[in-house]
Parts: sequence; structure tokens; C-alpha cells
Amino acid sequence: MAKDISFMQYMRAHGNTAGPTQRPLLTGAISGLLAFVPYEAVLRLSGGRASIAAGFDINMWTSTAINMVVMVLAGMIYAAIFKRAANDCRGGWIFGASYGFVLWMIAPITMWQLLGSRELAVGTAAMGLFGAHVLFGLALGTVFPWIHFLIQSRLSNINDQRMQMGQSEQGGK
Amino acid sequence: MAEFMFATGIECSAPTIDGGRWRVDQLESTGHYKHWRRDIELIREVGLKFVRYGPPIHLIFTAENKFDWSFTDKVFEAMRELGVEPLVDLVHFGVPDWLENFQHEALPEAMGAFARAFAERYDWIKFYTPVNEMYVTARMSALDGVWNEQMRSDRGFVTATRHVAKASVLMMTEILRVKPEAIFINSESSEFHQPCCPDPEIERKADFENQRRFIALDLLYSVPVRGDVYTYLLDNGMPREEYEWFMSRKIGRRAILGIDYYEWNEKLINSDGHIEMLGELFGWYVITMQYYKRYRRLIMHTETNTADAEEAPNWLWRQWHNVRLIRQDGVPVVGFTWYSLLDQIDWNIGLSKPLGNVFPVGLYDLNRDPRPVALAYKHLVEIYRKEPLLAGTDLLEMS
Repeated sequence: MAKDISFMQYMRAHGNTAGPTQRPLLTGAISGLLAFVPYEAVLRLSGGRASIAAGFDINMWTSTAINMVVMVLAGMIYAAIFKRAANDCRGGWIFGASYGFVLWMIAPITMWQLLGSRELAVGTAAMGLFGAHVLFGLALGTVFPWIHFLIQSRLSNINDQRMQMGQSEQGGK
Repeated sequence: MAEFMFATGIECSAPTIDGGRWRVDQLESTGHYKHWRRDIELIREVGLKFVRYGPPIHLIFTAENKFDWSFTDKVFEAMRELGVEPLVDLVHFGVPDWLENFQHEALPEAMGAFARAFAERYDWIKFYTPVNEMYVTARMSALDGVWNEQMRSDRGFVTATRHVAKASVLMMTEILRVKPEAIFINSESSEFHQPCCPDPEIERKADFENQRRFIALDLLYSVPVRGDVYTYLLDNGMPREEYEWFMSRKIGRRAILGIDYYEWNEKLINSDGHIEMLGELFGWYVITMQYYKRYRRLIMHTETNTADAEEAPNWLWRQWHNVRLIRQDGVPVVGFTWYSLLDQIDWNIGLSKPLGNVFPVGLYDLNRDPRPVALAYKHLVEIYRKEPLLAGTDLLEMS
């Protein structure tokens, strides 16, 4: 009979958890910040940013600042979901683009429909919202492996720290 | 000065499947052909010096007396440069296309020629595994019908066993001609079959399987097989003269017995007479002791891993404590191996289909990011780096 295990246990057993040298949340935050640049550019060019600001009754720069924080968080959530798979140079872009699509489904489509009193955007602005989210995901997934490569620790440094902390022989566990 | 050998391996299995239409080349599917230099650097990053490494024989030995060393020249040069000592697996579950499979009559002599050519080209290499896991090679190819010839017959199994054992003898002979100080590590899968119940037929079957696991090593090391196994060999096509030839060889002290251990090595013969995986019942210590008592050779723990990446550091330490305990009991273990450096592909289904499933057993994943077990192994090696060699291991001292 098959063991009754949770999805997360399954994922852990299949080696998806981050390794000892990795800093997934920091990588996600930096990558989210970088991916925000093309995202914002598309929103500005398409009129999507103006629609968002109008939808919330705030000015464009405040809207941009709040959105930037949200997208940094989105980068960290991406890292938490995809974990080790996010480090893949070849597959990262498609994980990211898929994630961007899901972000669009959740935020401008679902959440706004629940919370907003009028439509968020129409026409070019609506297309800009869609394109910006997919582009954000694409950029996030593409830069993530490279950022990770730059900021991860060296295996030797981590082990030295553990040794200095006086861990027992079983400290490798 | 000789030292205890902490090692890893670069998974290099390359059998054919599906009637020879596919070759499941692990060096290809794990990206080693592209990232070979980085992979060698990773070995040093974990603090290791020794690596089990199988050159792709199907790409090198392209025809009789024809060799293409273009890939291995680069790799072995980089190993020398970075101070990595290879334990070379010359045959790892696959043979070149022109030899087809392990039933080929010309296989032993051809492998001898390959070994000689290899040793001449890389005369600085000291450690060799002529044929990796001879029992598994013969079983999976000719008894379980999974790889290469994909036969399901005792005659096929005996033929494959004869060929790999003879190939090993000839390869060792040829290498010693070129490099008399070479050392061999005959890596074999530790196997054990437990009868489920006091049913005479089940017990007979388990007993026979527990003899069958020894046949290839018995032939290699000139240890007489049991009477019923001798009859089994002769009934399935082994010439009496060939058996006598094996028994007359003296392989000498330069061969270390490598014992691999995985969770699936211990098996249960259930009440239907079928073989089931048992998990870790007795463990590496007990099974290795059975092999040691039979062959009385230096021992190396030559492969282990676990499919649960989170559990891997615990498994590593459990295996290591088995090694330490058996050394305390006087068994001369000279090395330990976490296999492999990288995750593997499709080993969860025994390489039976080319699905592309990642088997997360590596010290590093296929992005070359370390897993927790890499850190644990590095820590272990640092603690036990000065593990002394035991009495009787002067073979390594002399080298």
C-alpha cells in the first residue's frame, strides 16, 4: 500500500529543498527587484500604471512604490515555491513565465474582481497589465539562476563555520 | 604516503535498452560531457581526492583496434592538474555497439585489448575497476531482461557471467603487463536474499540466490563454487575446461574487493516465491562480512546513496558507522564512496526506460548546486581525514 505522505514531504524527498549554500529568499528578492524594471516599463508604456493608480485613487509614484514592494515579495514567493528548480539556467525562464501568468490571474483578474468597484483596465492598458506580469515572470525566472550563482556561499565556508561552532561529529546530519 | 580513500563517483552507466535501439548514457543525461571540468572541480570542493570514473567505452572503442581518446584526454589531464585520482571503471554496464552485448564470444579478449590500450595511454593511472558489478551486469542483461541482450534465461546469465569474469581476468592481466604497480578494485553489489518463512522451497530458492551472487567473484578470485552451483554452471553451457582455467588463475593481492550497498540490495523471497525489496535489514556490515569471510581481501565501500535527498546525510553517517565498526572488528576497509557526485537519471526505474526522471542521490544536483549530503560528507571527511590504514593494507603503502 502506498505511503500516505504530503505533497511537501514528497517534494523534499525528491530533492527540491534548497541546498546548504543557497539563499533562496534573498535571491528571490533581488531577482524580483530586477524583474520589476521591465514590468514597470511595460505598464508605463501601455497605460497600465495609470489605470492601477486610478483604480486605487493614488498617484502614479505611490502606486509604483507599493507595486515594487509587492513584486519583491513575489520574487521571494517564487523562490519559496520553486526552490532548487529555480536555479536551473535552462528551465528558469519557463518556470518564471508560468509564474508571471499565475500572478496576472491572481492579482489583476481575481483579486481586483473581488475587491474593486470598477474595471481595473481596458484596451491597451489591460493588455499591458497582462504583458507586464508575464514579462515580470520571464525576467524573474531568467535572472534568478545568475543572481543565485553570484550570491550563494561556498561549500567550504559553510563547513568551516559549522566546524567553528563546535558541532558534534554528527553535525553533518 | 597511502591514505584512506574517501571517494565519490561520476555515474557513467551506459547499457542499451529496447533491443539495442537506445543507449542510456548517464554521462550524457547528467550533462557531464558539457560540464566535465566543473564536475572535476566539484570533487575537490567537497574535499575529496578519489573519484570512480568510467570513460565512455562505447565512444572510445569504436571498432576493433580503433580508439578515440579525444574526450578522455581532456578529462584525465584536468584530473591530474587538479589533483584528482581516478579509480577507472573500464566497463560499466555497457559495451561498444560493435560488440553488441555480453553474450558476444569475442568480448573478453576485446576488453583485454581495450584495457591494455587504456593503460598504455594513461600510464600514470593506478586504480582500475575492470568490470563494475559483474553480478548485476549479468543479471540485468541476461536474467532479468532489462539491459543489453535483454535475455531471461539461466543459460544467458551463465554466458554473461563467464564473459565478464573472463574479461576481468584478461583486463587485469593486460594492465599489469603495462603497469605492474596497478591496483584493482573489483566493485560488486552486495546482495542478500532472506526467505520469508520455513517453506523448504522458499528456503532453497533463497539459498541458491545467495550462492548465485558469488559466482562471478568466485570465478575471478578462483574460489571453488558449491557443488550444486558447479552443476548449474555446466548445465548452462560452461565448459569444464573453462572452469578449471578460472580455478587455476591466481589473481594475487593487488585486487581489492569493492562492496556497494543500497536499500534495495537486501531482498525477501515471499511466500509466492517472488523477490521483493526488503530495505535495510542487516545492513552493510553484515552483508560485507559474508563477502569478506569468503574472499579475505582488502575491502572498499564502493557505492552508496539513498533516494530521499532529505534523509541522505543520515544515510551517509549510518554507512560510515558501519565502516568504522567493521574496521574495529578487523576487516581491512581501505575506502568509502558516496555514489555519485551528481544526481542520476532514471535509476529509480533501473535505467529500464529513457524517461528523464531525476534521481536526487547526488552530492550535487544537475545545476551543480550542492545538496545537504555534500556538506555532511565534507564534514565527515574533514573529521576522519587521518583515518589510519589497518594492518594488512601495506599494498596501498607500497604504491
